[in-house]
Amino acid sequence: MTLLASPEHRLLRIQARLRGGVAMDRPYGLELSALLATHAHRLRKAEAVSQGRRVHSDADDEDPEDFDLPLARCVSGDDWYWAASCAQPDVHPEEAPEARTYFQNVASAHARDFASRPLPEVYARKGSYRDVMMPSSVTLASTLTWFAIGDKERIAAALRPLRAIGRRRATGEGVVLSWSIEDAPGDPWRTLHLGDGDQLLRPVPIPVAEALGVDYRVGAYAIRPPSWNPNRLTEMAMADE
Amino acid sequence: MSDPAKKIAAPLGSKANRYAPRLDRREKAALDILDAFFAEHPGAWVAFSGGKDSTAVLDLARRVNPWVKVAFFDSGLEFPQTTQYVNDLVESFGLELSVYPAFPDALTILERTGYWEHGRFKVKENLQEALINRPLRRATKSLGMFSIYGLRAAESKERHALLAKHQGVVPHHTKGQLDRVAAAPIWQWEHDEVHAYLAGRGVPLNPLYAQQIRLGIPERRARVGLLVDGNELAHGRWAYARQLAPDLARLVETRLPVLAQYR
Repeated sequence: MTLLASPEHRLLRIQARLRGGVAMDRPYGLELSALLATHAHRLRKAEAVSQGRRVHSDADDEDPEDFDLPLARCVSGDDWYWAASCAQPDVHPEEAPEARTYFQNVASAHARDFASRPLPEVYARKGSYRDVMMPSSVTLASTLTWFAIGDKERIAAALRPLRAIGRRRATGEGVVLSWSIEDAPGDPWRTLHLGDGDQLLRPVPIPVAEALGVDYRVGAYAIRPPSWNPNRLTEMAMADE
Repeated sequence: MSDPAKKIAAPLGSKANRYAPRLDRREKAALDILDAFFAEHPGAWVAFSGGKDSTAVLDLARRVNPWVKVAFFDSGLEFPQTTQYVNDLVESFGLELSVYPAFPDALTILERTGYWEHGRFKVKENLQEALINRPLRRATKSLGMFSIYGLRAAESKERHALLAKHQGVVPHHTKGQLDRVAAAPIWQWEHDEVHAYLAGRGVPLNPLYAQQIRLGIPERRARVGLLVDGNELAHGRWAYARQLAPDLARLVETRLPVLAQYR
């Protein structure tokens, strides 16, 4: 296991103060590298659109291109992952998320009157305009914490514009009141993976979990963004529940 | 302090009292059906799915015939909790379990249909045939034509009509010939009676039920079945499944990409 870091990379504790909870996966959700990669992807897409270029979808690429993120890299064998944890909410791990509901209904007559181009038939049961009533499991945390090894200035610049994170942002979930980024004390490798406790803060390759001496189970998880590409899915060690 | 004499009783009494007297009658009727069925067909076997109804039937059947054989139809897309629960019951009850895996498995069939990937040609596949009928034929061949199920009349009008007509023991014919006979000893039971029976007997429930309730799914809508179900996707079926079995769900999404829309 090797940590590939630049001189400006430091161990950081990043915190987001939330307005009223966040819709996220638990125990592993809202990976910091995924947040930064999504931001980079949006910038890339906006640039392409402004230049009138088509945006290439990397969802089916055999080896999708990696984003240039302001993070160190953790190398394990032939593979590597970004030196950043998943979000840790300040709630008890056993505390159940709050069950909220997300609705989406299209008023087809209204849409037809106000659309700038003729709309196709709107079906309530299929297509992009279908009626939706989905669960929204919201973790009622007031703070999310990440550990990362990276460039403080560039991470701050990327996170500052993010005013909401997680799922169901359009319905008011995951609103961020403020971000704070500070240097964290401790051994970078151990703090990055375990924080203040002894549970893995993110899925890691199995040799890394073995070297850290923690209990783990094996499951499928994307080793690094873009996580939507199936080729990134690999067997990883996760906290033993 | 309140005066107990002034306490006003609930019109229907407590939940336990409301169901207890009727449950005794239901239990006796179920045991009578099983007694008669086993007396006539000693080799009858129980079809077990890991759900609450088949768990209640398994327990009732074991009271009449402790050595009853059990069949589990593995679709290949069961929740990991169900697989673990079945294994735990096999160990704690000492069950003689035969597993009948679906071939091809449910995920392969769903993938073939093309409904789950953008731009694919769509093909009709018969899930019922591959996941239930074919494994059932194999089970009937090896374990015999007399089987016991956790079917209840309250589940659908069609089921009610069929079970009421045959009073819980339904013969199935193919081309005019008796193919198999299915007994449904709890055919008259209600949802709450099944829960009351299992709680009273101390039989553990599949942990999926408690996990679904914890996520906010009403108790009566909690289901133990296939991980992927084409119904109710826009109403959160897949969103809940992802929370209940995240590791398996990530793998399934790589093969059925449309599901990612329903997170």
